[in-house]
Parts: sequence; C-alpha cells; structure tokens
Amino acid sequence: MGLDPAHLTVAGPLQDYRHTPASSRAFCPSCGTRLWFRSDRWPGEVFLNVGTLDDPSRFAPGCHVMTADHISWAPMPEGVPEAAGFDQPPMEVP
Amino acid sequence: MTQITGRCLCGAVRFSTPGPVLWAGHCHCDSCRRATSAAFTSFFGVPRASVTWTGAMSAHATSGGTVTRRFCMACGTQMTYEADIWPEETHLYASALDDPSHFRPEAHYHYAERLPWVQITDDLTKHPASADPA
Repeated sequence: MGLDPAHLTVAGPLQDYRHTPASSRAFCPSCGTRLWFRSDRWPGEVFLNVGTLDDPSRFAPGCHVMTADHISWAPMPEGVPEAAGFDQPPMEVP
Repeated sequence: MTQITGRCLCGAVRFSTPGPVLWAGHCHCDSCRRATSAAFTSFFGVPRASVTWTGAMSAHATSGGTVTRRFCMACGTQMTYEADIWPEETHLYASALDDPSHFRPEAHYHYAERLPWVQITDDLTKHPASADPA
C-alpha cells in the first residue's frame, strides 16, 4: 500500500537495504521483517508491506502489478485490475 | 539428483540441498505473515542436515524460543523457519528459490487465519491449522 511518507512515523531501529542506489527496502535488524519499498522514481510515496499492519484485513488490494512476472502457483483472483508492469521502471534492477 | 538452490535478495546468503522436499504449501498464520510481511507465505520442508549454507545470517527466536527464523544480515530476506517440534526439518521459502517455478504447493496451512481479502480458488487441501496434531 502506498502512502505519503510525510504521514509516516517510525519507532525503533531499522536497517536500510538498497538493491540499487535509487531503491530502498528497509527491515527490522532484530527479526528481519521487511517494512517497505521506496524508490527515487516515486519520492512522494512509501510502499508499506501489508503483512506488517496490526490489522492486515483493513486494506484489501485493489490491483495486481508486475503480472508479467506472475508465478503460476501464486493464487491470483480473477476479475481484479492488473498491470503487466509499471508505466515507469521502479529503478530496482541493478 | 538436481540440487535445489536459492538465495536472498542481495545474494550474500545462498543455500543448496539435494532434498527431498518433504512437503510444500502456503501458510496463512499470523507469524509467517508478519515475518515475511506478505499476505501469506509459500514454503517447503527439507531435511535439516541436507542444507548447505553460505553467507551470514541473523537468528530471531519466537514462540517462546521454540522457533528460530533466520534472515540475511545485509538485506533482511527471510531464509529459514526451524521449530523444535520438527528438529529434523528446515523450512525454506519458495520465493528464495533460484527458480521459484519449480515449487509445487500441495496444501494450505493455518487456513483459518487467512486474510478475508485473500481469494483462494485452488483444489489444494486446506488445513485449518498445522497439518500435524498439536
């Protein structure tokens, strides 16, 4: 889920990992839980991993993206909006 | 036999095992969901002694110290789930495989904990909790 990073308050230590200089995937250094994806492509957004929510049932996904890379065994409902890729590359391919 | 190989996002941690794959499926439990920060987790079990590792991992103990989850110290990718009740097994994540298309899920576990917006339409066995009796 994407939201404005200006509205995000973070408590506790986190460790950033940059797969490319332009992208960020931060995680908890104690347990490894992935917290977000960020990219310089979208500086006004932080993409939070939904499994970290206290109540992940609150935000049902509205679309599937990168479906060109979809793995056959991953359940994907029919009839939901999907996009084969992004309109701009996410800048995470080294 | 063809080796089953995988790696973390940054590539610092790698594993290799000849198998065999003991079971494979999707887990919907809250702790797997939170550890992988995804809607559910797809993983499989192999004999613990069969896995060869390279690279540095951190360990995080959960479930009162009876479960250990290990992850890459550099990029955070979750690599293993190991539980005291299955001391001969290591559970590896399908998404860490070098070729995840080889994964063949057989069942859903902790299906009673699945998120309401996760739509499953397959014919796989749905275990309300673990496949093993508590």
